[in-house]
Amino acid sequence: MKIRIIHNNGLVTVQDTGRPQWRAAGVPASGAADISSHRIANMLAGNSANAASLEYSGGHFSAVLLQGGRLAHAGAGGRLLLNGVEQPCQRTILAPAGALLEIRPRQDGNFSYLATSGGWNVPEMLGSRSTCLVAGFGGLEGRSLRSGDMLEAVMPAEYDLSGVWTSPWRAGEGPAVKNDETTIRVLPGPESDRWDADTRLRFFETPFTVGRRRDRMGVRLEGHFVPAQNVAMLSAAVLPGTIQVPPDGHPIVLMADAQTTGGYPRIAQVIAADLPLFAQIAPGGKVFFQETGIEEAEHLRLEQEKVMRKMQLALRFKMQEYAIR
Amino acid sequence: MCILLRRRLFFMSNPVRPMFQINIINEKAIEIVLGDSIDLTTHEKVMAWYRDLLSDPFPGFVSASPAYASVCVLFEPEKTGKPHPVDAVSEYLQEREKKIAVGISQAKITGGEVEVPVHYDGPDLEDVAARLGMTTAEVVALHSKTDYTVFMNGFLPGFPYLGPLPERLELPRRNTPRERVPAGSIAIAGRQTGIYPQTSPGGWHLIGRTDLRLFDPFRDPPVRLQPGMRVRFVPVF
Repeated sequence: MKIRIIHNNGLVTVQDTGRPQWRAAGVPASGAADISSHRIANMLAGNSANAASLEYSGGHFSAVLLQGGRLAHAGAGGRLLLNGVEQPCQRTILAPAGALLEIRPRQDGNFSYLATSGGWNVPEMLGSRSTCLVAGFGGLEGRSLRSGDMLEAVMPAEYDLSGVWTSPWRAGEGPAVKNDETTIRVLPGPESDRWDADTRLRFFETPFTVGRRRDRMGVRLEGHFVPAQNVAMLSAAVLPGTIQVPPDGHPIVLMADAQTTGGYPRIAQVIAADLPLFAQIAPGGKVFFQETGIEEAEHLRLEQEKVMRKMQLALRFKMQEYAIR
Repeated sequence: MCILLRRRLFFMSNPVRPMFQINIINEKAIEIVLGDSIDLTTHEKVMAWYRDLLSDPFPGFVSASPAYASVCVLFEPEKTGKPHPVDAVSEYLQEREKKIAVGISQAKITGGEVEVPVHYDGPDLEDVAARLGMTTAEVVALHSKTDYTVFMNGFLPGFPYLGPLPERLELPRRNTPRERVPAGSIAIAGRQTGIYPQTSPGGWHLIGRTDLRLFDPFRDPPVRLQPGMRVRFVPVF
């Protein structure tokens, strides 16, 4: 697989599982915003989770296949078209050289992932192929893809194809976003006791709206909430999924490109199992936070991991059956 | 006899019960809180933990990152080899505290020293001087005659939080943050001073600039001013 970008007017970056090992240097973890969809796209392309995929987050993206090969598109917010024909999500696709590949926006989410055999081949920087936009490194020259860029698969494999082939199997239903109301489970944050019990209850009883001001660093929430009684604190660690409340009272949920330290009280932390789902709630979508405990969070994460592993195994059998390498 | 000696050592190294609190952040992160202020004693504790975890990591350890009064420890639950990773890592850290508490007094800061050349011509220098009731030359002299410690990196890749800034230079942040602070800007706010490694928005007062490159992802380590290092600003004209 080899592609040349014809046009891109949105944010499309190379992402893998990120570089959490460089936090002490102030380097954001980066990596896919919806790590589950990224992982599923990789499984469908025959890869492990840390292979690099392309993260699409809106706009019109088009490329020509200079070399054919295996592809997979998973997640939400994007429609994949090959030679003008829409392709179903969450499937393995084989496409011939010369095909026109397009991704166009869809209203059901924010991030979709395009994976290929072995992942997209860009140099590893500080232990990851993820794009770090704030410091301009990683991925392809530390930036969004643009017209004229070329990308190649780590494991190029040509198939004898007359047209596009799409697998009869499908890896899951995709992100379960309900834009009218999605429930996201959270753990109490280290400063959650800076709100009195009644106010804290309100955090869980009233829905928040995902704001228009959102990017890979964080999402602003709109709703009726208030800052902590005491907002002064020493800058401390923040992570993807940390919910901070700045003095204006509008909570910010930090995402994959978040800075490593922050100085606003941390009211809650989105559990690992729900963070990919949260990332997909489109602007205007409603979110309810539900408090949970660490044991439950660990249990849910493990259950999710089991489902992923089962899926990976099932896909491996299917690919053997169909002799797709 | 042995027990007596150990108890005494413990007592001597703990004239007051040191702060030690474990915050479970999520399934993969635990924060160790070691104090509640920006000071060098707390910083030494933070650095003792940071260095200890780096030199002798536990199974599943991913990273440790220092802040003013805390260290955040990341781990991969699968690789801890424990059925309840968060409990296991918490217990492990509690156990480790006994060892580190004894070692802290010897853990003097040995992070190296760096001189940072500065052009003191920042857009806020005159305003800063006026608000502090000083001349710009006095501000420059005070800022550059102080030895600073790198407390942590954060905010941006390679951004060093340096301190403590002399009390006489203390000012709150700007009311309106700038949308674009040029890379290399030297800034002050509160009892801190810092350097912007990349062009970014920022709310601190800009008093100078440096040509020193603070972050280079092609280098190992990528960061010039690392936690624990000592920094001195040298005026250039």
